[in-house]
Amino acid sequence: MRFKTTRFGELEVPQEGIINFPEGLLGFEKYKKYVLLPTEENSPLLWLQSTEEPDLAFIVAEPGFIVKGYEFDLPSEAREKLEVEKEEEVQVLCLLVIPEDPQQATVNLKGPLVLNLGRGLACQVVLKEDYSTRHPVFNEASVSA
Amino acid sequence: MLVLTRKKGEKIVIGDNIFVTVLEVRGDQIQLGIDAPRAITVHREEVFREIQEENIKARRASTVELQQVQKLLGARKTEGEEEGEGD
Repeated sequence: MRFKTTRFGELEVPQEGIINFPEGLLGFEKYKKYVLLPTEENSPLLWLQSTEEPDLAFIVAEPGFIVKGYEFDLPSEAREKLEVEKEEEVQVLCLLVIPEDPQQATVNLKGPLVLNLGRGLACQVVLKEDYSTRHPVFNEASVSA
Repeated sequence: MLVLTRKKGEKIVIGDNIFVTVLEVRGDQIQLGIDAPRAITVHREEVFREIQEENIKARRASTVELQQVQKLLGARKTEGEEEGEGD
């Protein structure tokens, strides 16, 4: 599949590389198809690029690289929507917000993306667990430690 | 908007399988019980809105900012490794 992007020019991705978000992301319900693109080698950060809107892209990360001990119960509606049979097949990514001062970057732990790449399905879930939508990526403790 | 008046213990039905019960009324606080199929997501509106707002902020990401964060993450990783792997 070929599509245009603002940041990366025209891209071609095999059909199985397309991730379907049947409900889109909150605030972006119109856009349902995305691809994951690497950023730099060995980086935990990835681009989540819309195949339908060239300018729509998010920076996402596997939360384990950013915070320790992040855990949640997979909401049952997500399990159904993503046709999850075994929890091991599920991958979790969190969205980053990077303001002008990158030290102030935050990660949304309350509304992670849950992906079942085997099925090419994903959704954004809202967790019952008490996590922040704006968890600092670089907290002072980890810098001064 | 449809407006209904309900008393404590009374319900409303949405579609044929979502039931909302007024459990408790205390001053300006109302406790609701919601019975819905598992595929239906129910959340407090403000949490929903907050995530929507974060998504909108997140989409403004630029490659320049990404590189800066990349650097900071790299620096943190090296620091962590010097301290030993932990965990």
